[in-house]
Parts: sequence; C-alpha cells; structure tokens
Amino acid sequence: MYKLLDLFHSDPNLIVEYLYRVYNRIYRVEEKVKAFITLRPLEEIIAEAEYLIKRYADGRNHPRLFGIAVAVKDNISTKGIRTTCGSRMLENYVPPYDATVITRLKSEGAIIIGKTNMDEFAMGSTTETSAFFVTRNPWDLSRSPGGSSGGSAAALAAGEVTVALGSDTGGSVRNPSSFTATFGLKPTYGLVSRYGLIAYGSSLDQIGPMARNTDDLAMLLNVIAGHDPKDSTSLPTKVGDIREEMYDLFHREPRLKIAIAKDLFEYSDDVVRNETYKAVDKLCSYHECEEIEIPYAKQCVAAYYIISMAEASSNLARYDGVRYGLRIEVENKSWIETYREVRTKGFGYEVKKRIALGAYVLSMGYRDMYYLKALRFRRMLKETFNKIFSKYNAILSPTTPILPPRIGEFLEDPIKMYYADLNTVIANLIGGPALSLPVGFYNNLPIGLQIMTNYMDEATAFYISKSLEEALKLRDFIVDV
Amino acid sequence: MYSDIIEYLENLVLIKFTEDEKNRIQKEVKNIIDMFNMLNTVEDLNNWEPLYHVHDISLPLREDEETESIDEEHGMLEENTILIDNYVKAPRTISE
Amino acid sequence: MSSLSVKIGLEIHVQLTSLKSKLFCSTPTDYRGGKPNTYVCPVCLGLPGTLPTVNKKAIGYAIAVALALNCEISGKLVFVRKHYFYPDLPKNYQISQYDGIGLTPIARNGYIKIYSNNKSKIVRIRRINIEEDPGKIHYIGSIDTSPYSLVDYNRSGIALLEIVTEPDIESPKEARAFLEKLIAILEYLGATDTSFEGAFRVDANISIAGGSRVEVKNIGSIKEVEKALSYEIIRQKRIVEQGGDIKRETRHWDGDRGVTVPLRSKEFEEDYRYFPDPDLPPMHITESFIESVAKDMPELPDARIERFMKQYELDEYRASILVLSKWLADFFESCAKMYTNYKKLSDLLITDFLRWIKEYNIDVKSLKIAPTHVVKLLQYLDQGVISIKMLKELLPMIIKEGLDVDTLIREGYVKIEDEATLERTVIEVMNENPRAVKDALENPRAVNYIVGLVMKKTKGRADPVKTVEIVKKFLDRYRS
Repeated sequence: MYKLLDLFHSDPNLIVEYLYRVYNRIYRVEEKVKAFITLRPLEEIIAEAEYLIKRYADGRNHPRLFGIAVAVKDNISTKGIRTTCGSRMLENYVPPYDATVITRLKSEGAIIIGKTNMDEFAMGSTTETSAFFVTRNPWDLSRSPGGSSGGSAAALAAGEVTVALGSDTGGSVRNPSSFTATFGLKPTYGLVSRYGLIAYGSSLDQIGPMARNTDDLAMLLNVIAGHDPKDSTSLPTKVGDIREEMYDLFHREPRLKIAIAKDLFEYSDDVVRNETYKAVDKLCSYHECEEIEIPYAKQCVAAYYIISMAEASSNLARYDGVRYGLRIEVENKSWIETYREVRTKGFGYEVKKRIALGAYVLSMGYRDMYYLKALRFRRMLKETFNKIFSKYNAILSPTTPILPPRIGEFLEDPIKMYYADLNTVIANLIGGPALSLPVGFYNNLPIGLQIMTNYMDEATAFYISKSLEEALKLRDFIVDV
Repeated sequence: MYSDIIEYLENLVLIKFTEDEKNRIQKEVKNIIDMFNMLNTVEDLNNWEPLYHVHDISLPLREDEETESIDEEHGMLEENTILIDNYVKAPRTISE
Repeated sequence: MSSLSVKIGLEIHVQLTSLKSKLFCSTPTDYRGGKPNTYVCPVCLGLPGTLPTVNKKAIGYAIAVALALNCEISGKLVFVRKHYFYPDLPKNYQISQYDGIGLTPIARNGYIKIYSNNKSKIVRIRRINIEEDPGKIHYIGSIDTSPYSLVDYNRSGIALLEIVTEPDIESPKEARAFLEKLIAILEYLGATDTSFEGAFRVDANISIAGGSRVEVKNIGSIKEVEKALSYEIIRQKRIVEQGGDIKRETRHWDGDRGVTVPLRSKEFEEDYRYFPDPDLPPMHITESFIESVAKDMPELPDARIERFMKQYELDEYRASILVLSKWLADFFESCAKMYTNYKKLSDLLITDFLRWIKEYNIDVKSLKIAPTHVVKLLQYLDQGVISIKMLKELLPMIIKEGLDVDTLIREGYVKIEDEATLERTVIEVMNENPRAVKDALENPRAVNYIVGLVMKKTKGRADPVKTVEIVKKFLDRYRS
C-alpha cells in the first residue's frame, strides 16, 4: 500500500485510474467469489475520488489512506449505505450514521467501495450462514473462505480491494485470514472503537484490520485505533504509532522469549501442524522458545460460547421490525404476535439457536450454573495468561487446527465447527491482541500462524509478523480466480 | 425434556422454530449443553469472582451538555420505518 | 369500618428534569411540546451498533438524592440490562440497576421523616436506582380499540430515579405527606421540577391485614395517590369482610372513573434475565466524589424547618407548610427581611395567600406579586391605613395583576370612614337616584339598595355600617 500512497502523493490523478482497475477486477471475479453484498456504483466512487483529489490539490499534506479502496464487513454502520449483517432482518436497513472507524477512514481519505458478506450477525466460522449467498474461497472455489469476515478476506485474496475491515468475536478476522493467506489482527479489546459495530458479543467484539501484508495491516490499524468517547469500553490510554513501534523493533531486533502452545499444535491436522512448525522453527532459530501447555483449552470454547450467546441474545432483542428492519403488517395484531413473526422470519437458524441458548444461560435458575460460571472461568483464564505473559513476550499456535473446509462440511456438525475455534477464542476471552499471518500451503490451501501477545502489546505481534514475513516472503497474494 | 425447554425459550425470546428446525435443534442442544457442562471439570471455579469487563477501566463520565442537535430533518427514522404524523407505527399493546 | 392493618409501599419514578442531556446520550431533554421523534439520536433510538455513555451530572443528582434520603451509597455503581419486549423500549431492554446476584442499586436503606396526624414518623427507603425512561405510546382512540400504536421516542433515554419505600406507610394521608416531603426534597436539590408533565409517577403496593400485595399502577399526581389508595383499601376491606381472599395482582388506576381495574394477567412470570451491561464498565463511587456532591448540597427541608422554628419562632406545623413548598419558604424569607411579625406573616401566607395562588392557578415561577407587596399590606394593616377586610380584598387583585399597593391605596383603597366624605357621597347618590329615594322612603328594606349604590360609587371603600346610618339619617330628614 505504501507504494500506492507514494504514487498518489506524486500524482493524485492516478487514484481515478486505480479505482477503475479495482472495479474491473471486481467485475471479473465477483461472480465466482461473491464477496460483496453491496458494491457502491462506480460513478459515485469516482465522484468521491475527484472531490478528494481537489480537496488536497495543494499537495502538501496527504491523508494517511489517500485514495485507498477499502472493503468493510457488513456489520459496520456506514451512513447512507445499506448495512445488513448478512441477515434478512436488516436486508434494507440504511444506517443514518457512520461507525467511528468509518469516520476515521474517511477523514484519512480512504474510499469505502462496498460492504462484504459475512455469517449472519457474525455467528459462524464459514460465511455460510449468510442469508443471502455463500462467499467462496478464491484459493479453491469449492471451499469456504472462513468466517465470519469471509467476504472481506475473500475480497483481499482475490485482489478486489487493497485493505479491508472485519470484526472478531471468537476468531472471525483471524480464521478467514488464515484460510485465505491474508493478514488479520484482532486488536486489544478497547483499542478500536466499537461504536457503530453492530453488536454480537459486546465484551468480546473488536473491529480488526485485514490486509495482504504486515505493513498495510499496521497502517490501517493506526488509522482506526484510539480512544473514542462514544464507546465507554474504549481504552483511555493514548495509542502511539504502532507501525513506527513495529519498525523500531524490527530494526533493533530484540531477542524475544516465545511460548509455543504445544497442545494447540498437537490438536491440529497433521498438515497444519507441519507447516506451522516450519514457521516456528524459523523464528526459534533466533528467539528463545519454550513449549507450554494451555490449561483448560477445551473449556475455553464452552466459556466463549456461553458468554457470546448470552450477550447475543441480549443484543439481538432489539430487532422487532418497528423502528427499522424487516417489516410486516402490524395492524390489529398484538406486539407479541408481530415481534414473534418478524423475528422468526428475519433470523436464520444459527442465529435463532444462539439467541435461544443465550437466553437459557441467563435465565433464572441457570444463570449461576452457566453464565456466572463462564465468567469465573474467564477471570481465572485471564490471571493464567497474565502469568504466562509475565514470562513470555508472545504465544504461538496455528490460527486454526484445520484446512479451509468444503462448503457444506460444517452444517452437519456444528459442534465440530465450534471446537475449531479453540485457538482463537482465547484472545477474545482474555482481551489481548492476536494476529494471523500466512505461513504455508498444503495443496494450494493456505495455512496460518497465530501470534498472541500481552494486553496493548500490538507492536511485538507486528514485529514477529514482519520478521516472519521477511523470512518466508509469503505476502501480497492475489489469487488468479 | 429438551422440547419443553425449547418451547419455554421460544416464548422468552419471541422466536419460533419450524418443525425441521426443531428436529435439528433437539439433536444439537444436547451436544451444546454437554459442551457447556465441561466447565464443571474445572476445579475450584467458585473461588473466582465473575469477570464482567475484561479490562479494569472505570466508567467514563460525560459532561451534561447537549451536543446532539434535535432531529428536525427526521433523518434518524425516516428511511427505515413507517411514520404517521411523525409517530412510529407500532403494533397494539393489548396481549390477546 | 374495622381496623384492619394497612401496609402501603410506594415506588416512585421521577425524571431528572434539570439535566440538559439524556442519561446515556447528549440529546437535548426539553422535548415537551416538541414534534414527536425529533428529540432522538441513534443511541436513544437503540439503532444497531450504538453504545451508551453516562451523564456525569445525573450520577451527581442520584448521589445527592441518596444523601438527602439518608441512604447507604454503594461503593460500585453497576448498570444492568433488564430485558422485556415492548414497543416503547427501543432496545427491548432497559438499562438500570439490580439488587441481587452480587449487585447493588446505587443506594439503599435510607429514610424520610414525615409529619402526619400531628406526629412525626419514619418511612424507610429500600433502594434508589438510576435508569432510563422508555418512550411514550399513544393510541388511536382507546387502548382497547386502537388498531395499532403510535410511539414517540422523545422521552426515551431521559434519566429517571426510581425510589422504592418499605411498606411503612399506613394510610392514604401518610402517603400524601410522604410524597409531599419527597417532592420538596427533590425540588430543594434542584434535581427535578415535578410540575413538568410526566416527571413524577407513582405505583403503589397495598396489602391489608397481612394479606397479599396488590400493585396499583398509573397514578399521576399526589391527589390521585390519596384517591387511588383510599379506593383500593376499601375494595380490599370489603372482600376480606365478606370472607374472601385478596389475590396477588397488578391493577390499573382509572382516574376518570375513580376505580382500580385488573390488568390482564401475563402468561409467563417475567424473567428479566438481568446481567451487567457489557457496554458500561462499573463506576467506583469514591469518598471524595460523595464529598464533592455533599459539599454543593443546599439546605434541605428538614434543616430548614428546624431553622424556621428557631429563627422565626414558628411551630412545626407552620414551619412545615412553608418549607414544603420551596418557593413559598423563599417568599416568606424575603418578606421576613423587611417585616418581623413572623407569625402574622406566616399566617397570611399559609392561608389567604396560598389559597388565592391555587384558585387563580398562578405559575409560581412567574409571580406578579412580590414580597414588598405583602410587606406593605401588612405594614398598612398595622398602621390602620387599611382594614383586614381591605387587605383580603386587595390581596387577590395584586396576586392576579401585580398592581402597586400605594397606587391602589391612593386611588382610594382606603376605608372611607370620614363622615363628611361619606355624607357628600350619599347626597350625590340620592340626587342621582330620586326614584330609589322615593322607594326607600316607603320601604325600609330599599335602604340597602341605596347603600349598595354608595358602595358602588366608592368602589367598596365606604364603611358599610356608617353608610347605612347616614342614609337613614338623610331619609329621616326627607320625611320630616
């Protein structure tokens, strides 16, 4: 991306040419990939670009994402642009306001060209629960690109955009990054504002940058990160220039103490284990590595699903078709009747299931047994990882234990799908950053490595990613679809 | 056993499952609850206080100022709902 | 009626009307009289993706009220979500607090001292919550026949304090005394103006003779509270006396018909699925925060009553009546700076003055009558310039029009007792009305008619007794 930005800095009119190329690419591949739910009309984009170019005509200070085409996951509110969350419930919902991250992107000259497909209300790991259509993995069109930010990942892998935004509640940025040979970050909880992110699991959700290399990822993070007074869970501490911190570390090359999550490698498919261990070996030839055991790894999945389902059932209570969303005839019917009708019609099976189970774990008589217990587990887990991070700078594991699944594979066995989230849910439960980068392939199917670091220590994760990227040269992939 | 629970939950959250969905969910619910119950294998969980907010930040407080202006353009609702004399049209509140 | 014991608990919802912005967003709060759904923003509409931010001043007021009600203040303020589906609740959950599962309301275990039936009594406060108001539902015609509802979200998100008492109240009169005291405290704190429509709502729980609790909702004013409670107590007593049982239920007060009616029973008991709102971290309420609130608190009613009793040597009854309406106590003290017969002053204010204010429905925020008016009236009374009767006639005029006392008196609002002036006026009237004179000569009762004309001519200032004497005197002269 920095090359593009240099280009645009010297000749801003090249932005228009670039955008034409972007759209040509999209027109060529979208039929096969189907990453976008909403694509803005080209005329609109060009007009916006021309306005942008005029605005910065004096050529002095160009904004940090000047002219860059960005795809945004469709659960992030964009003013005037339909935002569906992949659901019939919001099929025609047009937000009257921009999410904070969108405001920040726009103020830095980014051009939001469209909204990408996702699992309905972010509930899923394959983008198959979208109410509209299934997005395909550009690397193998019979396979899933992962989820729930599958649309954004696929758009990147197919070269349709330069950078993208996703959201991550239990791995929804990292999982699709891993399946598409792209880079994705779940930031420290509270680092990026959630204002405008349509909530799924409020205490777990974060908006995450997605890109084709570490440098772009860091640049995008710099723009969206930082305190937001509109989000009461937004971290109050000042955020520095993470990209600069990354390069500082990258040039100083400090020797880190890295933990290898042995069991998470063991649980993985053989081919995944092999490729990810290769990357680990590369790192550990320089850094000091030690194997550790992640205690109670399987229970993390239970705690994650209890908490996220509980919060989801609460966050999705508001969808009743009255103020926005799916509309049905309301005359001469009670509110109980109409609400039931709208919510039954508007939500897909997986969403209904999670809402019901979420209410179950919060209901009288079960709250102690499930919800409170999960929260006690969460505190214990956080303490455990605080201790681990007091000893180690980072923890490595495969991003997910499996290769990109075939379309339809998980619909039979959702529990299997839930357990596949094991590696990624940990970072959401403890609120720390986690980055996924491509480290290998098997039969042309991408495999990713996950780097977890301590609260607010994005810089170390980027440093490791940048080092590995330099060593393996696995970056900037655009698949010939 | 699970069908009673499902029906209770359906009424709690105002959602109905179709016959097919009910069959599907009967199978899945047992597995999911078994998964939830795995938390019971963790020792001494009751010694831990529940963690409601993952980072220890204190509630930020906002000054009492009107920084939002009033919505005279009706931009907040117009696009997405039915307005009658600027009221939102909603179902009756009598439960039949 | 038998003496079955009555237990009443009140649940009061009061809006913090002095706030400029709503509880969880910065939308302006002066929505009354505005077009529907214009005082809204994405947050108070609960649009997808929005998040709440807490109004600092609202917390300040909540703590001030908690202090004024002698409560224990929680060390940690935790907001919870209370889930139920209803068209006036945009998120289908309300952000509030909860007393249970390890969580606490913002304050609990307080009390208010009330003065009823000539004695003091303590009414305990169980808890205080701070929460958001839902929107308002309107109907086409009546609630039963309306084909759909019309919702106005202007009110959605307004800051509410929920104040719940223990069932220490034993009569409708005590309930009234309690509410008057509570409202006075809230007004003294500047937290709320209860004259605003919808700013003050009361639900009551009544049980008699240890029986089940009946909840009565939708009571709109203090007067209605007394009526509703009286009705409900009688209703329950009748049932018990006929051998029946009171069942636990919720009833609705129909102010127009003066009865409570059962609300349709719900199929399922409400499971609100309370849990702490993940969007709002807890607030640690520190000693220093509480102290800073306490420091800024004004003199509260109880303290002011005591001071009035000492400083102005008034009895508790008079002091209470003055103090419970802050504007009246302020008015009294302004007068008291210029006039030191406090008992006379307080008597006038508590009786005629207050009566006329109520009769004319005067807005006490824009009084036309000023303390100087009242003081002058009293001074002229003391000096004999006017009679008590004059004062009682002038008072309502000044209250209504704000006329200047000296001008009124100059224009002749002095009692005419001077014989010479009266005689002149009588002669004038008699010359102008020869027929009346003729009637009076024949019919003694017609004298009153002439007296009436004299009163009319002197704009009521003529001393009636003396006038009658003079008229009779002249009539006698005519006869002879």
